[in-house]
Amino acid sequence: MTTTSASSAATRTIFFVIVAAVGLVTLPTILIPGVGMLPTVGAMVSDRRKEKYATLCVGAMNFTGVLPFMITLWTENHSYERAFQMIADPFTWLVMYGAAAIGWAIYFVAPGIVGMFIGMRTEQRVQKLRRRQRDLVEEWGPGVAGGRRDGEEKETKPAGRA
Amino acid sequence: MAERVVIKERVEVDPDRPLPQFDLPHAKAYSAVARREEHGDLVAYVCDARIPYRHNDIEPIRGLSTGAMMRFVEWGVAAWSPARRRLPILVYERPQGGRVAQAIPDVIAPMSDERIVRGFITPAIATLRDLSTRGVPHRAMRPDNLYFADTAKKLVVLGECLTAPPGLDNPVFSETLEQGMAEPGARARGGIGEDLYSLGVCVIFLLLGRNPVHEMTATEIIERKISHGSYGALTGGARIQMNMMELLRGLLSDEPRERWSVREVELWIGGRRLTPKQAKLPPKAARPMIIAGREYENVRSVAEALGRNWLTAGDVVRGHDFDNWLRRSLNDEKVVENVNKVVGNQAAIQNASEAETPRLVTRACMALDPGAPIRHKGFSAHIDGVGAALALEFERDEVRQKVADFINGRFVGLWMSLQVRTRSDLAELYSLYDRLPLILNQTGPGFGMERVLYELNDHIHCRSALIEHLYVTMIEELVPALERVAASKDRSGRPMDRHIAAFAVARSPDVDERYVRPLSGVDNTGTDHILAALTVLARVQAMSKNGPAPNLAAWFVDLMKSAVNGFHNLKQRKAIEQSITRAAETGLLIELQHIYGDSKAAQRDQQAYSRAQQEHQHCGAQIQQLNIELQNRDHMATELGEQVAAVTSGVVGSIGSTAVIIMFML
Repeated sequence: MTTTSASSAATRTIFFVIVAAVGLVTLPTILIPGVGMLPTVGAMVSDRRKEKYATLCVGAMNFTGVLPFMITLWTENHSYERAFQMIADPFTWLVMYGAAAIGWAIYFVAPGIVGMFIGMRTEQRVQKLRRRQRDLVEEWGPGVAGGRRDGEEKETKPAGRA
Repeated sequence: MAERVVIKERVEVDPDRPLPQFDLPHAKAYSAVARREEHGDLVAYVCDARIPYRHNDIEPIRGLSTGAMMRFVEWGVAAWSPARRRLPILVYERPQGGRVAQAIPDVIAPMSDERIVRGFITPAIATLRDLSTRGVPHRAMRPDNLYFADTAKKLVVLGECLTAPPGLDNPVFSETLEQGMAEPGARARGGIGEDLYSLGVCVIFLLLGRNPVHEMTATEIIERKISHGSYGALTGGARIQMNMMELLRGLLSDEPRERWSVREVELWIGGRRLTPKQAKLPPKAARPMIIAGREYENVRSVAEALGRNWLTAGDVVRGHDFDNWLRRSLNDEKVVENVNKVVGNQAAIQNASEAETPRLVTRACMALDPGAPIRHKGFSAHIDGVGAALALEFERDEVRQKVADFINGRFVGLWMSLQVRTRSDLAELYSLYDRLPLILNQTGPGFGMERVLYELNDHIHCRSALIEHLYVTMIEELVPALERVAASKDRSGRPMDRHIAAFAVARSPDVDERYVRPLSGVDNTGTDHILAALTVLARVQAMSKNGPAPNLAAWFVDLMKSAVNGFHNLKQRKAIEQSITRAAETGLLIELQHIYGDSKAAQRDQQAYSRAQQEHQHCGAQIQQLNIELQNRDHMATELGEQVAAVTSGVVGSIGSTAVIIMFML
C-alpha cells in the first residue's frame, strides 16, 4: 500500500516537472489558448450534465477560432511579445470568442430543430397509421374497430354462412 | 256466380249446381257436363281434403266396361272456387233413377227375389269379377250407395268407391267381422271376399226393404255377429226364402274360406241349388270368461272384449283364471299354441313388467283372434289401414299417440306369423313397419309422425299449412307450389316446415335423410336452418326438373339477408350480394345454395376479419404510443438536440481546423 502511494507521488512529480519544462519552453503558445479558450472553460463550469455536450459544442468551435492565431505565432515569431501583441488585437478576441459564440448558438438551436424534425416524423407516422385504420374500416366495416356493424342488431348469428 | 271448373279439357263442373241427392259422406256432388264425348248427365264428386282418395285405383277403374257400377268418366285435381283451394274431383255418369235409399235407416219397398237377381246380383257379380281381375276391390258397397241406373228403376248399380279409403263409410253391419272390428278409418283394403259379403248385406236390404239392425250400435252388431253369425245377426229373424237363404248364407259366411266366391254365385244364378249351409259359429268354451263384469263364451268375443276393455284387460290376461280358461275350458289347441307363441307361458306373463301390460293385452288379442285387426290401447286397426286412420285425423293428438304406440309396439311381425294365409303385399308393409319406429322416434323435421303419415299413405297430399290448399301429391309439384306461395304477397314464415321436409323425404328417392338432418339443429331461427331448407328444396328442384322458381329464390334471399350481412368484408359482401341477385333471377335454387353453402368463404372471411381487427388494434396502440412521444417531444428534442449539437460542432470544428491548417501550409 505504502509502496503504491510512493510510486504514484513520484509519477505525479515527474509529470509536473515535464509539464513545467514544456510550459517554460512553449509559454507564448499557451498564452493564446489560455486566454482564447476561456468561453470553453465557462461552458465547462456551467455544464451540469455528465456528458458535457455544451463543453464539447463550445470547445470544438472555440478551438477552431483559436487555432489560426496559434499557428501564426508558431510560424512568424514564437515570442511573448508577439503573443501579447496578438492578445491585444481585438480582432483576435472577435475571432476566438465569435467562434465560441457560434458553438453556443449551435448548442441552443439544435434541440429546437431536432424537436421540429421529431414532431414532423411522428405526425407522418400517425397519419399513415390512421390512414391504414380508415382503410380497414372501409374494407371491413366499423366492426373491425370494435364498433357496432351495419345491421348487426338484426342478425341472429354474427358470422353466418354465405 | 262461380266459374265452371274444367277437368282435363273433357269435363266442366258447375259449382253453382250442387246435387245433394248424390252427396257422399266425404264428398259433395255437383252437376257436370262433358265437353266433347257423348255422355249423359254427369255427377262430379268434390273430395274432402282430409280424406285420402283412392288414387291408385282410378286408372284400373277407368276402363271398367260392365254396367253395374256408376261409370267413371274423368278425374283431376282442380282449383275449386267455393273452397278457395285445389281439390280432387272425380266425375261419373249420373244414374238416372236416383238413390235406392237416401240413408241407412230408410225403409223402401221390398224387391222381389227375381228382380234382385236380375236387376242387381247378376250385373253386380259381373262387375265384381271385373274389378277383382283388375285387383281393385269396391269396398264401398252399402245400401245408401246403390242407385237405380234407369228411370224405370229396373237396374241397381253400385255407387262410386274412390273418394274415400276402402270401407271408411261402410257401416259396421255391411263389413265383415274382421273389418267391422277395426276403426272405420283403419280398415284393410280387403278384396273380393269383403265385396261379396257387402253384396250379401245389400241383398238383405233390398229383399226386406229395410235394415233390421240399423238401431244397434257397432259393438252390439259385432257381438251379435260373433254369437249368432252374420246371417242370423243381419236378417234379424226376418223370413227369407229358401233360395235366397242359400245365397245369403254363402255370402255372409264369417269364415273367409267358406264364403262364396264369384264363381259360386254365378253357379247359383245359373240355377244350381244346394242345401243352405249352416252358419259355422265359433266353439263355445265350457265356461264363460268374465271381462269387465260381462261373460263371454267364445274365443273371438273374448278377444274383442279384451281389446275394447284394454285398461282392465291386463289384470285378466295376467290372472290364473285366463290361463285355466284357455287350457281347460276352451279346448282349442291352435289358440293355446298361438298364445304360447306370441304371449308366452304363464310364468312369462307374470314376470312381464307393468309397463308391458298394454302390449301383453295386444298380443293376447292377436293370439286369440289372428284374423281380427290388431288392437292396441283402444286402437283397432288392420296394418294396411293405419295410414288412412292417421290421415283422417292427423290433427288430433290422441290419434297420433295411438298410431305411435301401435308402431312402436312392433306387432306386425307377430301378427303376420299368426296368419293362415300369406299375402305378398304384406311383406312390403312388414319391411315398412320395421323401419317406422326408427323414423318415428327421431324428432327433427323429416322424421316423426309427419314422415309416418307420408310413408303410410302413398298418395296423400302435403299437409303443410303453407301449401295444403294447393293439394300437392307428387314431389314434382312441391317447388312449383312453393313458387306460387312465394309469388303471393304474404311471405311470412319460411318455405319449409315439418310436413314439407317429411313429404320430400318420403316422396323423393333423391332426397335422403342426410338432407333433412341439418334441419334438426337446436336453433331453428338461424341461417343454418334456412340453408338446410334451401338445400332440400334445391335438390328437389334439380331432381324434379321443375324449371326456375324466381319468387321462391327471392324468398330465400330475403331470409338469408342476415347471412350475407354476416359477411365482414364489405367489398366481398357486395360482390356476394350481386352474385346472389344474379342467381335469384335465374330461379335456380341450386345456384343460391352454392353461394350460401360455401362455408370455406365464410371461414376465410372470418379469419381475415380477425386479422384485420388485430391490425386495427395494433395501429391504434401505435398511434397512442406516438401521441405519447409527441407529448414528450421537448424532452426528447433536448436530449437528442444536445447530442446533435455536440456532433455538429465537432464536425464543423474539425473541418474548420483542418481548413485553417491547410491554409497556413499553403
